[in-house]
Amino acid sequence: MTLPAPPTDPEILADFPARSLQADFPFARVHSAVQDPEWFCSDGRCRFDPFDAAAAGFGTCYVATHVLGAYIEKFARFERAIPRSVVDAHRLSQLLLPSPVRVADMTDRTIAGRWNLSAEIWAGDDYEGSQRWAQALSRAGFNGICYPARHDTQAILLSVAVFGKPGYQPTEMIQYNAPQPIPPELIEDAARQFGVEVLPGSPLM
Amino acid sequence: MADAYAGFTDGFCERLGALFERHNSELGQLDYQEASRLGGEAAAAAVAPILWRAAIGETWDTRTAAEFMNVTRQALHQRVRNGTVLALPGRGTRHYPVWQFDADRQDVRPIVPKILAAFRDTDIDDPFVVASWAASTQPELGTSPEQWIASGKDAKEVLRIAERAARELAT
Repeated sequence: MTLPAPPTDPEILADFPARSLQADFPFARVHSAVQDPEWFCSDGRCRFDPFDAAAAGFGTCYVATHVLGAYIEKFARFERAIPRSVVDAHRLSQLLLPSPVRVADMTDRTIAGRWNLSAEIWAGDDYEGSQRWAQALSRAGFNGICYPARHDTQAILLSVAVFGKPGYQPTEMIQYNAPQPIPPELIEDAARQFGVEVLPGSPLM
Repeated sequence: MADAYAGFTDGFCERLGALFERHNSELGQLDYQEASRLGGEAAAAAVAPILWRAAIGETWDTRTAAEFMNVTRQALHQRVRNGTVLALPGRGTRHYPVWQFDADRQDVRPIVPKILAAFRDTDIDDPFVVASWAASTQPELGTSPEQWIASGKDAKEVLRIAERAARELAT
């Protein structure tokens, strides 16, 4: 399914639903161990990257409001079993915003009637469509997008795509906790709540 | 279930007891926390072959796969090493997920080496990653890659999702 195109005039998006995110809240990010957590992606790999990075001039750092959300968004492409090697190759970091920001709020139900949007924008296959909306919302002055975690069917866990300068930007997201191995308690919590076990790659019988 | 649980714990305790008898000076130096962590890992390792078996679906052993492809075991081994066939380690054999084989061509489906390469290009070379991913429902497909491929749908779509999944894991 293809998303509707965003308005071309940024002023039309001025009254898009918004929420404020505070600077003292520790956001969680599960990321590759060889990547810095304060990374703002602009290469089109991820859902709310800019559609046209050269023209947009921003990148996107993907965080979650809860460590469980960060974990499940990273690994939920594995339905029943996550290889231990994959979990070991990732780290959990917690990051703070340097100052409060205003983000577009995709959890607001009025996005359906007023903007003709649905869960497709955060859970669908049309990444280009989501990226066009990210770029339009950035141009309209939003500092990011708040949306439900795709794999949380209860829609309690929230994800946040924070806009900033592209690349490694340690002043735009500040380390609250240094990257650490994924804690066993988090792995166990995710297994209990989402039914996804982390297993070593033992020889099969 | 009680039998299985008792079997695991009895087997673990007997073996651990024997190892402690012979290596008490080394093993006895571990503190409780470290020993508890290692004990937990041992439990996961003990049940992993069974849970993996349930997670990844049907597989063939080396003999069956080689006969199907009409190649020698050595040739099959070489293809695994070249990254053109997906194989999981086993005890005395390898296990080959069945979805990767094309009955008409009596060979591995052409898309399989490309899927393996997509993951390898992001430094993911654990075969359990591809096997588990292929058996899991992917939102874009509405089904698992193995079911999508088995039903004869456009395999390029699976490759596109494989590339996306690999990239997501690499960030």
